[in-house]
Amino acid sequence: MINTILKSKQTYLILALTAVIIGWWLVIQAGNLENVYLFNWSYGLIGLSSAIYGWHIARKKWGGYSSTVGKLLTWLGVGLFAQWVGLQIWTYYNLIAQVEVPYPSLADIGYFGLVPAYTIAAIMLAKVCGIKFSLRSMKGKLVVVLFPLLALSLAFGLFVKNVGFDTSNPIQLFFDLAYPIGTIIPATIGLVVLFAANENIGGKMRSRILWLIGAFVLQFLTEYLFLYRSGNGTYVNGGFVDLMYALSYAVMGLGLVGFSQLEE
Amino acid sequence: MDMYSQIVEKIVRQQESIIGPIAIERAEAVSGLSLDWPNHKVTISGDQKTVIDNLVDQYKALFGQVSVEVSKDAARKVAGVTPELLPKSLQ
Repeated sequence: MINTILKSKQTYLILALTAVIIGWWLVIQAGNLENVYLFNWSYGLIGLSSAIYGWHIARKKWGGYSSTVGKLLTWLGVGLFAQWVGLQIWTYYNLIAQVEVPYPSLADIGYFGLVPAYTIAAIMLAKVCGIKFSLRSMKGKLVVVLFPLLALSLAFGLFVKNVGFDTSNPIQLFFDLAYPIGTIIPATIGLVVLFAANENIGGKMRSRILWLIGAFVLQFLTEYLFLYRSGNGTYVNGGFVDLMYALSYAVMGLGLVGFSQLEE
Repeated sequence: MDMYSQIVEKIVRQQESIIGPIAIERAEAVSGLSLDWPNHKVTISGDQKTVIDNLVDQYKALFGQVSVEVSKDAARKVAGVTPELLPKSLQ
């Protein structure tokens, strides 16, 4: 997989954008807060270019929506594109509406779009990895039951239990519950695949599958960090969370590049 | 088509549903296997069981054991197939 990544021009686009973003982030941390909203808008380009590339590879190499791998790549692209849409709207609120942290807002239509998109992608990943064969074993059955229970416990323990069920703002209540529960689902499915189907996944695709699972986990950690910081009022535009978002888009983008070629 | 050609057709069709056109490419690379895929016609020349084993190996190199399980499942759908008749890789 590394050879495939190194040979692709898309890799260097992603790395160049990421390098610029990291450099810019360091400048922001040094105290130069000018254009911090533009910084946020800019790192979305990593996700956007990766989304477009993912759709291109899905169609060109994997039969588009007619194959399970094609569907996997397509929905990963949808998730990245949804995040880009969310960033556009978020930046509008920052720059035009002068709202520092617009939550909940129309931006969440984009941001939350990641959840169903990545969930569908994760389900496709599980199908590709033959999860149905793994469910024939006791270990597989145990993992499929235990991991979601652990994930829901984590979501509840860290966030859901602190949600005040104030129905005067039903939209905020929905997102306060949906984000911690929803964002853990793709990573949970990925980890179920890793632990239940690990022996079945081999060949050239193994490294690619593992990379995607890692990307799901990184995205989940980023989302939870955002929830934690925004929950306790410590989220700032251009902060560590935004760097994590940029890196999570880059990692997923490189994962998509891995599917552009199966090197011999 | 004879039973072994049907087995190949089912395996390639199932793999195609998972990995798309790469399934056809891999099948066409198998020595002794000739595909007219738009018409789903398969011709095997030489030892049929060996050709199927080589086909399964192609997919296994891509995806590992899961490809073998997919191939086994596909082969079982062919009428008249019994374990003794199957190539080693599908038993």
